[in-house]
Amino acid sequence: MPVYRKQFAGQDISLGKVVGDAITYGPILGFSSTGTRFDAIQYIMEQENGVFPATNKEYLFYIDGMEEDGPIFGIKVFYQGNGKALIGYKFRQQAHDTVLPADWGSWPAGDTGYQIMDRANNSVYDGIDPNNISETDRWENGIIFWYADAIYSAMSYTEDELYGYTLGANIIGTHQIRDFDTCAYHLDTDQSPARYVIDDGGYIVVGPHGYWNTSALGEVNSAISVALALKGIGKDIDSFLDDIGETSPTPGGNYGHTPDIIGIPGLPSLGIMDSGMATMWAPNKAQVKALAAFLWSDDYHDNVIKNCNPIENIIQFGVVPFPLASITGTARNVYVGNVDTEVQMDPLTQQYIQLDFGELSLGEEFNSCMDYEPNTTMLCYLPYVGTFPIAAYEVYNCTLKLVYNVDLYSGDFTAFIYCIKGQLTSVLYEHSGNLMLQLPITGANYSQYYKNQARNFMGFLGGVASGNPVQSASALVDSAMSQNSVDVQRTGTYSGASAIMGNEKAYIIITLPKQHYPGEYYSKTEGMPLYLTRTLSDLKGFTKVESVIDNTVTATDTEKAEIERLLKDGIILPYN
Amino acid sequence: MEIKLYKISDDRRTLIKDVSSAGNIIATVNGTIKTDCDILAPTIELTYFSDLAKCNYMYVSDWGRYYYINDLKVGAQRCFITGAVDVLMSYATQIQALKCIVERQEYEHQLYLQDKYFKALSYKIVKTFEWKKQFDKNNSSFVLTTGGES
Repeated sequence: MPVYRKQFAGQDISLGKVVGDAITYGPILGFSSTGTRFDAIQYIMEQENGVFPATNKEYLFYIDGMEEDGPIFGIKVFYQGNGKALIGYKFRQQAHDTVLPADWGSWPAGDTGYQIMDRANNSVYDGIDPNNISETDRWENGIIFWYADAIYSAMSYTEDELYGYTLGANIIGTHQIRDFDTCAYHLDTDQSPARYVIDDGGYIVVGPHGYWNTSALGEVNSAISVALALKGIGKDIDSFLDDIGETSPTPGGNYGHTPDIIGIPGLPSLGIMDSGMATMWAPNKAQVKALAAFLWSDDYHDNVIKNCNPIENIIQFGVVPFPLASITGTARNVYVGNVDTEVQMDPLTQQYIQLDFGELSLGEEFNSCMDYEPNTTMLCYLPYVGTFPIAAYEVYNCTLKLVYNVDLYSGDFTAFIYCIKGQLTSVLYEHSGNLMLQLPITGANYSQYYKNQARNFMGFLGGVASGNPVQSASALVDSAMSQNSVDVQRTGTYSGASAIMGNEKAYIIITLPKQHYPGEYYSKTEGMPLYLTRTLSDLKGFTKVESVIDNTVTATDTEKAEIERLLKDGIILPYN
Repeated sequence: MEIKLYKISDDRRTLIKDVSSAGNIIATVNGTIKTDCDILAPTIELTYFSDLAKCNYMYVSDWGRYYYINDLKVGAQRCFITGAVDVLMSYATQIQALKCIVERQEYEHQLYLQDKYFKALSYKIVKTFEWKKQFDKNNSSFVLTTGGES
């Protein structure tokens, strides 16, 4: 499928969606680098290096890869003299089953087939000093010519049905063309965009009509755009074109498949407390000391003789580096075994807790390939995990959410990095570890503490494995260094005891190149990469060609070969 | 045949040389070809004139081509100039109409393509960016698990 993308002011404009309207549109062929609004005067000034042309001049826009079909949009300056000019917009709808003739040479006069936005007493762009152009003037003073060619439709709609879809209620004036089945002529002297019905319910919205509109429909009304809205069908632009017989796919992919959302998982619904086999507490220091005093008191000794060894009923004891007040209940006495310690503590109401560390958003440094691998590399440090490689394209211009799901019984956790970027909303990274500082109470369970230390080595690699809890040191080093272009291991392994002394903040380490740039004339002598098809008359300045599509120059073979050689070495096209 | 002689300073890579500025136009003279020659690298006989030595560019209207003047031989009465065709200027209009896959361009570019001409110094810049929320050891909590329900 053709990729509807056009560079404007050095930035790509790709498919987007209209916002602020009650009806959801499909992809929009937009021409603005700042959203859906296109400012023709701004574009002209950029093309003319800040000097508005004092001649008639035309600017044409093509769809990449479809240049042979002719331009799809044009701006024309009609210079009136004495610093006055009219600005016309020429827009083309594309027939799906015909190759469009690239006949933009004439601007037919008269009303037939054209929409003229003629604001009485205000239809002339007065002055060519860009500093004197107001926002309103940019739109209201432009005269708009529509030329919509052969909107294809296999269905017949009545005027009422057609206008029933039209946004706003401003269809007035004389409608010279009634055959909406096969054409897209529409005469509307007011501001609202109209939809042209095509095929199986899809329609094209064409706007604007030059009227600066700040209403909720302003985004549509103020943009020169085409929306292929597939009402009730739910298809994307490329699937729609498939259905109506588009048979010339273009390499590059259509990115038409909507990705699934892989969200952060919720917490388990069952835990040790649901079994009735254990109770979890969040004691403060004084309460812990009171319990210790009980365990080592004379009363304790009596209880050992009469009952059992209550200390065996303390299953685990540790420290976690965050408060638990939000998940505690009303304080009550702690029983160890069947023995009332008469020490009151706050019970935990849940075994698992989710910790949200918020979002991180980063923008590019270079706005070029230098921002990405292999030029720029990134590592992510997570507390109680360590550092691991993270892809630059998953960081820049993304919103990165960090969440830890923690098991307060064992201290084990899984950390999730959730990325939001364009259509992507997904967990991209998961790492596990242990964040609890285990506090052994007896000699017997001190040995368990050592086992946990070994287990925590596994956490660094992204998960606790069953079986042999200890991996070789060489395996750990290899894992940490394998994706780091400068072979730097920034953290070692982490365990509950040592990690609690580590950094408590998660952060990203970005290693950037120090670009060496010869200055503004670099592009004049070497150019910058483009790799697109262009007609040389549309370009200016240094241009280096990879290949000539069709060398039609009427020269000798020797000269034609020389022309191609020079084009491939690079030539300097006229700057004006 | 008519020969227009110029003195230009344009880079050879320039598609359209400046042959219209008054200071670049030297003279229009008549020349002849004495022997067979390649139209792409002709040798043309002219009558010597004092400004001839300034010329580095010419246009032969009969052939519709522009030439760099590569060689100038001067005799007592006659002189000979040897030219090499400038295909860019000779076919500028047709060249501009060509459709090409453009590899590199001065104004229009896609900077996210890897560029072999981008240079970087040996040392790098390291930056760190943190999530604003963090663990807080100063607000640590004990967790105690006891057997049975209390």
